[in-house]
Amino acid sequence: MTFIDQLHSFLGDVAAQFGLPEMPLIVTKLVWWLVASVLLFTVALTIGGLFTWVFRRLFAFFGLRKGPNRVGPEGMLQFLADGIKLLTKEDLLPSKADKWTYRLAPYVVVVPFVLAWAPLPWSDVIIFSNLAYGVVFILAVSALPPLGELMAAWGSNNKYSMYGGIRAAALDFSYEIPLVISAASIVLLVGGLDTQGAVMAQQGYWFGFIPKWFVFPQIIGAFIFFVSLLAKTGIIPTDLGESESELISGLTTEYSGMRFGFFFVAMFSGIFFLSALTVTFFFGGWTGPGFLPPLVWFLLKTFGLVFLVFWIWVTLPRFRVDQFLNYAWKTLFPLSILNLVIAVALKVWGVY
Amino acid sequence: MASLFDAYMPVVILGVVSTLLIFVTIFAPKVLQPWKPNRIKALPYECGEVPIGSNRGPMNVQYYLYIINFLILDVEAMFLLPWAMRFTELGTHGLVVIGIFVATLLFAWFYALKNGELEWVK
Repeated sequence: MTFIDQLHSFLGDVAAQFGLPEMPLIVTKLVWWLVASVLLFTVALTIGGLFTWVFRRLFAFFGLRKGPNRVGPEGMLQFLADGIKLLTKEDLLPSKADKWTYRLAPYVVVVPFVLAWAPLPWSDVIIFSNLAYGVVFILAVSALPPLGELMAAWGSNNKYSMYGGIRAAALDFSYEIPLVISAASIVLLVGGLDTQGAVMAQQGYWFGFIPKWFVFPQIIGAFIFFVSLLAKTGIIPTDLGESESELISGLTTEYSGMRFGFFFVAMFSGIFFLSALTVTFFFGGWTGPGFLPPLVWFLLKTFGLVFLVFWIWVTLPRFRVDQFLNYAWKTLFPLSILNLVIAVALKVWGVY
Repeated sequence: MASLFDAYMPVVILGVVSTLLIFVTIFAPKVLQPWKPNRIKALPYECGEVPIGSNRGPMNVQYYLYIINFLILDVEAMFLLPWAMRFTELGTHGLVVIGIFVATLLFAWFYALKNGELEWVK
């Protein structure tokens, strides 16, 4: 009995108590999907807001400083204060801007980003929608934001935005190919395209103690996947689209208020999303020993990777644009083909 | 696995809901915001200088070569997915066919590499 059926029978009981006629199942479904959508949207973007505080605190500790610690306990409510500031900021429209592309760009960046969270398995039962083609869906919708970046670049009609947008789009599509091929080797080992199946395939242990995570046979693939997602998220050391010191924050230069806020929050939520995807495909997702619930295992692994991302952020300087693009085309692409050959060999020898 | 409607209808609703929520979050706080536009504020931001010339300057021609190479190799990557999903059923025949396909495109990649099409700055 699925959750929706339980909810439906519960609502039916409540309606019977008040002598109301029973609703058809479809109404329960639609209402639940609506509630879940609002919930997922809020979670997806609030995590980004919370991460701005986490990151600033961590960044300060790495540099032996204190960071924001005034608003709320340990400065935890800092992101709310920042949000109120962004909400009350004047929403400028540059005089030379292309109005429609300028206004539509935040939607084109954020909506596909939120859609990509739909097939993400949080635990064995918590998943927004277990699509049969979840992997393809994630890859497809996460390929859309470069379009929004180009729209922002063209629409704001600013030299720096234009350079930033071109760079960001070039980066995104260069890293698309290694990303898809390393995902294809996981699909090959799993033999299916749904995300929940990919997690299920990683249950169990080798020799009784090594978990059957894909990171061990597919270490190259895990590395390619992680680096590609890092490049697509666009944070230091790969923030070539909005490098503050060269392009005065590139494609978001002309944006103010909540329009800027959405670009910013999508970037920070992207850190959680890239960690969660890497955990799902390579670190066993929500699987783990039974003394903790699956959701906790998923969040623990994800926050571990998030910490790694922040660590990379505070450690490395920005790459030069041509070097980093060369890295995708000349190193990661042949490596991803090699990784696919390894996956085929594992499958042929019957390891999977 | 849920039916097609049960699987994809939530995603459609999620798309609509997130579009509406973004719209509300951008337009509802207008009542709180100051609104005093002037000519100087609305100029393209160039660190205080008055912008000179076109803001959409000439683009590097390498960009187009990048996109053409991307199209070829991305189509390759997308064709790998269905084959990878049905690897066991397609067997040796599928493996040989996809091997020839990938080898051809690897040759194309190598050709582009030698021609210097994969350089951002030439």
